[in-house]
Amino acid sequence: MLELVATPFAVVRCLATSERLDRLRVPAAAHACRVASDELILLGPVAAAQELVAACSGLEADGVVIDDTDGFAAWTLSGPAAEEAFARLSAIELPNERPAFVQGAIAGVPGKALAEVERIHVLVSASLGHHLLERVAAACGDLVVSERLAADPIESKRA
Amino acid sequence: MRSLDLEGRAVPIEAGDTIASALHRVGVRIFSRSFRHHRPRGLYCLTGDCPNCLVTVDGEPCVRACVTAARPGHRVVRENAWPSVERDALSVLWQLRLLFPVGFYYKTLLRPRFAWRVAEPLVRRVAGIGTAPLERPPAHREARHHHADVLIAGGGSAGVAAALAAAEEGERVVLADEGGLDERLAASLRSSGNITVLERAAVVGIYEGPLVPVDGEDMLHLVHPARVVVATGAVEQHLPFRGGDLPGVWLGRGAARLVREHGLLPGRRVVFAGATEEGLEHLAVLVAAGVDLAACVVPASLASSVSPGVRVLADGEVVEAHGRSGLSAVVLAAGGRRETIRCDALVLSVGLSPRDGLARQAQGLPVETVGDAGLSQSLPPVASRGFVCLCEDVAAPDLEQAWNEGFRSTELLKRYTTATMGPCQGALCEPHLRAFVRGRAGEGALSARTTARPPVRPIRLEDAAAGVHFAVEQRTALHERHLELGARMEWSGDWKRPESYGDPPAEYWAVRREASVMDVGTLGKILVAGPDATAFVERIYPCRVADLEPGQVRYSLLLNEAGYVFDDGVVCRLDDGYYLTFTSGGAEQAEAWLRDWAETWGLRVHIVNRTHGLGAINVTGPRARAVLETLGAAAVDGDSIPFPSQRRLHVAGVPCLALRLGFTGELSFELHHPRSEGMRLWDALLDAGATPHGLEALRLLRLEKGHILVGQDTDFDSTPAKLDLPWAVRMDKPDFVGKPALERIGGISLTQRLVRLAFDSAAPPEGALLIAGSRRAGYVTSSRFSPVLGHGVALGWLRRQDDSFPDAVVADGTSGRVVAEAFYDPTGSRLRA
Repeated sequence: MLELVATPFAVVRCLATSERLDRLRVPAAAHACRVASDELILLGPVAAAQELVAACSGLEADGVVIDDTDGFAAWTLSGPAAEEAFARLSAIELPNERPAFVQGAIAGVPGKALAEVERIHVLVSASLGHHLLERVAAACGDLVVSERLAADPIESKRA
Repeated sequence: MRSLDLEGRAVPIEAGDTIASALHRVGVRIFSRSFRHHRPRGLYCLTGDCPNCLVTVDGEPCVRACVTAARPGHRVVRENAWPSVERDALSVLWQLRLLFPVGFYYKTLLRPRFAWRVAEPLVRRVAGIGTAPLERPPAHREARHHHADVLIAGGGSAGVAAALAAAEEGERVVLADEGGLDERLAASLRSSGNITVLERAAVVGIYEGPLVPVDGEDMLHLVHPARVVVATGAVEQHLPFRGGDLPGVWLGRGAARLVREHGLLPGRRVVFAGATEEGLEHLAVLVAAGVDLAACVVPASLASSVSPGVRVLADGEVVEAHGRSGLSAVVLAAGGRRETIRCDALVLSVGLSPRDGLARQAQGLPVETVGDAGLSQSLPPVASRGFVCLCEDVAAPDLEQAWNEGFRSTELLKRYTTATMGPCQGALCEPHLRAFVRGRAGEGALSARTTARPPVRPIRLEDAAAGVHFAVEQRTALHERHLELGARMEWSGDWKRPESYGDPPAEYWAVRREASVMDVGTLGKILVAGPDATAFVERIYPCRVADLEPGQVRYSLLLNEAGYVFDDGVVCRLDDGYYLTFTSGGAEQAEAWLRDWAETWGLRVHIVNRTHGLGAINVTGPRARAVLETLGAAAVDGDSIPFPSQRRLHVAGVPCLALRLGFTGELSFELHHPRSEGMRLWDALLDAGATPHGLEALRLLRLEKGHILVGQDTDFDSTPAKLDLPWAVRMDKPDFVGKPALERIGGISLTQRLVRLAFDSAAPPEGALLIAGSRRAGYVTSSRFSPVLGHGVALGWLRRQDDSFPDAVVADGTSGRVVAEAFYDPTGSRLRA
């Protein structure tokens, strides 16, 4: 069983020196995902976007903090077949520990994934959100995709 | 009754049947006609190694009938014959074989020169295997990745033992077998928890990584193991002799499998020729099944092991086989005597060759062989008669001829004769090819094994492309709105954009006379910040950037190290950094390019690609300002936001960075906004009276202003000087990307340049030649008829003629002249309004 749900994630991008990012205190509501030595993204509930930005305020002196929630389409693969579905979408090996963050080609486009127990959040560029949906439908149709397949991530964020 | 269809004939299917067994049960003996000579071919190996049983199933050619499960409704057609496999008119090619010697396409039909042109279609028609299913819509197969410590290719005893051993060590194992495993065994393996079993899944090859594609029934499995164990076993050695390819000649494993798995006999009266212990097992199976065993040829050392009552020809040999469409007799020799024995089956078990193609193609990768796959290849005696290569119809005399023509190594013989290049990929013929060369040149490099390459098993092209998506389409937030408005979408880079909304002329006039909007969210948008941001962008761009004040904007080219233009855009000075735009589809390349230079120069900058988080709508036309004011935008007058500049403002409540630019030649405001607000802003702009325009209108609008489109009007070696844009480069700057190259070529006079061309009437088509006097002088890159000017306008590359560039040309019969300024509004008063 696989369920695919549009996930209204807040995405805050923090760019600063590696040392400053290492010292950043991450809010409890957020997942901190290091995407580069000088960049970290915070994932959290949309309602907490401002809180996440505020948590990074100290970085702005010589860095950049941007609420880039609009820049990503985020979808969650959940259920027992989540990892099977992910394996059909990406060559990236998911680590055993949870949560785990990985990035690379997902559904043939640049993406990021945050794996939790029996669910995997997948983020791709907002302009490619439809593509991820189409790929899931094509590659994972036999895994019983739920009715929420057609939800629009942008609409979800507004809600 | 369950049945398949063989060329219009219903063939019953029993449980466990392959297509081959089902057909054999009803008396089918000829399964195909051979590749070159249209010789009749029948079941031979039953292990998927030989080409004899390739048939077309449900329109799909080259399906191995012996390893493909029969399903009710299968439509089976035998290949490479006309009008039928039983009565193939093209079998005359065997009688004419002297006209088609080995490598004939290299040395015959060369004169007269048209001969090959005439002959080639015929050759292609009568040669080959099967017909590509061109009418069938392409199927999109999916791929699934597996990560494992070890991939085991082959589910025989050696493979299973290797899997269990690895699993006991705690390794994650993927075991792939192209057949099916015993149900209980498969269940037991799966229950270990560490073993993934892929049945009816053939390992196709081993690539760097290692990456091992496994062609499964439902999908392509892409396995990423730390190491690979090849346990693919061995194939029985093929034995060439005259008539050895006739239907009725079997390899021992095939005959035994037919008996054991399907309860069928290879023939009623059988001659057996064996040289191995395993061969005796096959013999025992045949005897137990009740075949009439006419004779048994074995080495003297094995003669005592043959069942009592069987006639044994110790140390005998098979000389030749007789028959027209199937075996009717064999000639055996033993003790200096020859004897002809009538039979309808000859079963051969003369030795094994390792099925090690996978291991041999994985040089330098962590791959080991176990079981029979690890056998060293023992070479058979040199064949003097019969077909060495069944796939390509290469006979022993063909090798002799090729050798005499100078092709004197296994690799050269392979290429010239095509032996080992057919579906079996050398499994049956390579030992004979090597034996032949070793017999002539001795052991050494000349007789080395041929190179193994993927795929080791035939694979559909659609399987090879599994999981590959040919066109990834990027969409702006307004995509659905465009569709609702009836837009005709077209590719622009990797984006889909509106070409028009149905009426390009009306869209054009809306820009020139009213107010119009265009979705330009596809533009690359990158933020550069950090302590060294100014130094960085100053070195990136050829124009001056450091003097920009917050709120100012400057158009700039982007040059590569050779000084060639590869993109263009604008630089916006913000309070806390720089906002850079690039052409649609250029964002990812630009981002990588910027990061590369930042790293190279060691500057402290942060580069953030905002392309996907920000939308952009260009509001343009004489009424553009009025539209914005209607929507509550404050201070959009020419003093507050002059051309060119930028400032933040709210339009319909949406926060925007407004760029005052003029690509269309009219008053324009490019509104960059949060992507999620795109639809709201778009709807508000339309409600306020703006109408949308698409790319077709834009192409004309920008052409009237003489603006270039990078990629359309530029070549790979277009410098700013060639593009007549010298003002976009400040050579007095200390440094910028491309400056050294521009300095080196600065003193060289231009041989061609991009010019604006005004034509007397209609515009010539894009690509049209420019003629100056009577000489070719260049070509048109962009052209349109200008409604507002009433004549054709174009951009084109013009070559120097003698000492100067011509100022008058003819293109497609229309006279034109070179124009120094923009065609439309050359003073720029409209866009500065």
